[in-house]
Amino acid sequence: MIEPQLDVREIQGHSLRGFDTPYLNLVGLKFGDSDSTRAWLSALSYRIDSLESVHQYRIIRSFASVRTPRLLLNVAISAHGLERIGTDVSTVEDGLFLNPMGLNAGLLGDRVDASMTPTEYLLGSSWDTTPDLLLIIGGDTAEATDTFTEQLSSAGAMAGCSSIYEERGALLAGAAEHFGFRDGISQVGVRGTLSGVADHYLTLRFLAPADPNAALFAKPGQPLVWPGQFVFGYPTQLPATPLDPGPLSGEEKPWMRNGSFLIFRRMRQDVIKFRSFVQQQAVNLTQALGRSVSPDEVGALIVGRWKDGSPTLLTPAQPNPAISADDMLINDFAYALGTPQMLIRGADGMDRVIPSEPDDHLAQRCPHFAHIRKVNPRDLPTDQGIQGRNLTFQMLRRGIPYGPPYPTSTEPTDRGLLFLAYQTSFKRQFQVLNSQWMNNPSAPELTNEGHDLLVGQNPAGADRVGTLRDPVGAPRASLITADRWVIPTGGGFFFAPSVSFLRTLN
Amino acid sequence: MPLYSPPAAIDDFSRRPALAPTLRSGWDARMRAFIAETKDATNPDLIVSGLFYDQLADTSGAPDPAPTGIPWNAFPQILTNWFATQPVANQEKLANDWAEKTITTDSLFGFFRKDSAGRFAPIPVTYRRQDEYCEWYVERTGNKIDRMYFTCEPPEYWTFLAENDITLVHDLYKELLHNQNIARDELTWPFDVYSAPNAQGQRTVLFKQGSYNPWNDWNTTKGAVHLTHWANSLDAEVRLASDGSLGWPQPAGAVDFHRLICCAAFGGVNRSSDPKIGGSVFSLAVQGLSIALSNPIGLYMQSFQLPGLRDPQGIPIPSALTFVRKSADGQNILRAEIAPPLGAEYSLDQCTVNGERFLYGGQVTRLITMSLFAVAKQIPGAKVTPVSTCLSTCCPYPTNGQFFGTFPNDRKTCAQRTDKDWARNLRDLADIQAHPLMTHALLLEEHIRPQQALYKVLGRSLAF
Repeated sequence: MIEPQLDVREIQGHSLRGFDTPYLNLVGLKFGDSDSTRAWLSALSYRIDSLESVHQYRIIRSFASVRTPRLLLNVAISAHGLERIGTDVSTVEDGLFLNPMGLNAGLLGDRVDASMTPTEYLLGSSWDTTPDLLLIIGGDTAEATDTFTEQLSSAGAMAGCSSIYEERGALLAGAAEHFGFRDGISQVGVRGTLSGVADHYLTLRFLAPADPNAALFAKPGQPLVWPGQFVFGYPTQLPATPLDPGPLSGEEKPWMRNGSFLIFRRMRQDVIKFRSFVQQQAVNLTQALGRSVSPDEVGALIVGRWKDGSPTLLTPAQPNPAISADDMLINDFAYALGTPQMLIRGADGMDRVIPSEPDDHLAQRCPHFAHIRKVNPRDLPTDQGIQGRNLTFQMLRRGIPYGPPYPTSTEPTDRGLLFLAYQTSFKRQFQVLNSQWMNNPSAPELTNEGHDLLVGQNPAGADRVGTLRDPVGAPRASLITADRWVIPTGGGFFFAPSVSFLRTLN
Repeated sequence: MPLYSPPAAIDDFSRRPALAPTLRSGWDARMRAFIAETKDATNPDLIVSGLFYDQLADTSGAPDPAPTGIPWNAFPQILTNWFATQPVANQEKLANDWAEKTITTDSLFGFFRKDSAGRFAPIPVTYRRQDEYCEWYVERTGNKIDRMYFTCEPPEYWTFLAENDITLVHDLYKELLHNQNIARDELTWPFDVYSAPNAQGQRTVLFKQGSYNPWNDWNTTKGAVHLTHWANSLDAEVRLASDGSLGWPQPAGAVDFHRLICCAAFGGVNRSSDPKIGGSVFSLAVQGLSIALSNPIGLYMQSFQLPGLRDPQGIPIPSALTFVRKSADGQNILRAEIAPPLGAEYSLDQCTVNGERFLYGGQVTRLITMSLFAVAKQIPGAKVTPVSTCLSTCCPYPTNGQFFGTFPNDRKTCAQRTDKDWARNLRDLADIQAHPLMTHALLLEEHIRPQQALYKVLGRSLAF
């Protein structure tokens, strides 16, 4: 099996590699006149950090004892923006991409009024409030990132663009999100090589060559997925034959090659409400289950992981630092069939054995309604078909928190997550995860299995329910709420083009 | 004594107050007979399951828990799999387009009529290839889409109604299809329908002239009232649940749904429904639980919304979607309809759904979750019926590894499977130009051998 060589100088680096910078600013611009915009974008292309550039930055950063501050820049353009600069998007068959997010807010489960207009959006209700261009600016220090941001905004203004949105994202301690849970643990591994050198893979391969799973996993819990799921012009993932390259995504549209779709959703987080809920439910579950249940355990049941990232499937009673500190263990679980023993290649030929882990198909350790189980069923067969299909729905998540951390500022302050995720089909990837699974209490495993109590949306006044069940499915206790603590406040669907696309605009 | 209710406990019987008691007891008897068939030890095509029970006939004393719902997606996965190796941009459109084309066969069902000379000729039967227990019909005038019907009503219920009161069925057809001009005799067979001859050369009358024809034009090419696909039936659902509860030879522990159905051949391996239903039932059975289908037995669309359905001006039209027949609590839907609001001067194809032009029923079906409901409990003394050997095995299609065929467990390798072996698996795809195997010559060969059914429709599978 030969993995495709990725065009590292054409693909923007945030999609396949991720900046992973402690600071990430987003700036949303509306274009002025087309000619000035095209000229500016073309010039800007020389400053774009390609996959090659970002990869080098990440490598150097992980090894350098003294960190050389870097600033990274990627861009993404909306369908409206693309049309403004003369690209015909009418033949792109993705109704989410072709419209402002507000048009499909109801489909996404966001709160809407009788005319289906979103009621909680700060941006993205219409094309007027959707950026034509999203600047994604990463940096190692807040000051440098902000300075670079100002420079870019000024340059955009000189090109006739106007700023309609700006937000500062920053990593929280422990790589956590605002509810306190470590985030971004589980990402699929993208197949593909960075050069013609043998085994020069984008995604590091940790399994020993002798391990029979080495062709399927980069490391325990990280399945390998063909890059066409995330970047146009490359082979896609086939459900039944994961080792075989599928048809190319975006094959019929050369201008999309080496580009990606990017969804941005600004997700406000109500930390006070969440904490209040888990505290109340700790009392409820203590009574219902006849044993002491802590608020942390309630949170872990809702998420599927403890705050330190250790999964409840592996450690149902309490967090396990030995697991959370070990990249080879923290994601080594599967619901339907458990995981096999794996061999991690070690230095000096001393391979490390990762033992097999049991399954949890009866959802006794990770509830059916847990967030990570709802949005990533792993090896479970679902309402959408065989388990191999699950990988075709996954995205590359590159989000970062915004707003001050909760203990620092206790008053209800706007804080949350700048959710960013790359894919090549909004309707076959994001929409399935969001609308068919996360917001659907009857999917992916069982009818009435429960809502995603962490991020799932419900109509105003309607309850969300998660029910803990015994092995035969009899209910033991329910978590019920009409509240939400993750509130979508707008966003947009964008296209992150190749470097050449930008360069040839002028 | 409790009775089995019609699907979703829909109350058509009250339209005929005098007949209602007969209808209620008759439907109950019909359902019990379906379940009793699964206990027929004389049937050579059946393995009786020790863990499948009749919910309303259970005398164990063990209380029934709340039903467990098993969900699957309504869009035919077989088409998604079939087109999976096509260019990505074409996959969805191809599947949506072909999903709406009916299939006409004069061999699959084995129906014959006697001509004036006394010779028997096969009768062409038209059915929809939508095989996930949800079927839909798109009503068009030229290129304009006037209306869409979505149904998951089983044919047995409608056949039962017709046996007792064909005028009730006629009334319902006219009402559901908004057409008072449907003639009653358009719903019935114009001649006696005979079976294929048995080993002794004898034929039986399957349907008498004038009796209800489930595949009449108003339920196939001109509308949709109930399911038409050969695998979409309550009988098949019951049989699937029974077969799923057998002790199939599978590794201990959690169940691989795909491996199970390849072993057991209790349904279509390329479907969303069968692997999920059979696998879910088996997962309960391996815990030693007995399984029954929960009353009322049926298969349902779960209630859904279409917030992204907008008129040509971009204005949402929630009233375009109606649930015409449903359970009392509105959760389990038997029939849905989409049409422009009354008085609208546009057609559905001028509307958008989720930002895209509304051109196919499949755009909606992909958003529908189907469910059936089972109960599972410990019944003292109930034991699993072990099956020592797999009945079947699967092979990937030679030029499309996402599509599978099911074959007898006869130790042949996949490479040894012939075009004829594959033909049975491609029954619902025979007319799709994309594949090369089902040649015109092969179809003709089947046509000129009418004296035996080449295969049997058995539950959710075509038996070997």
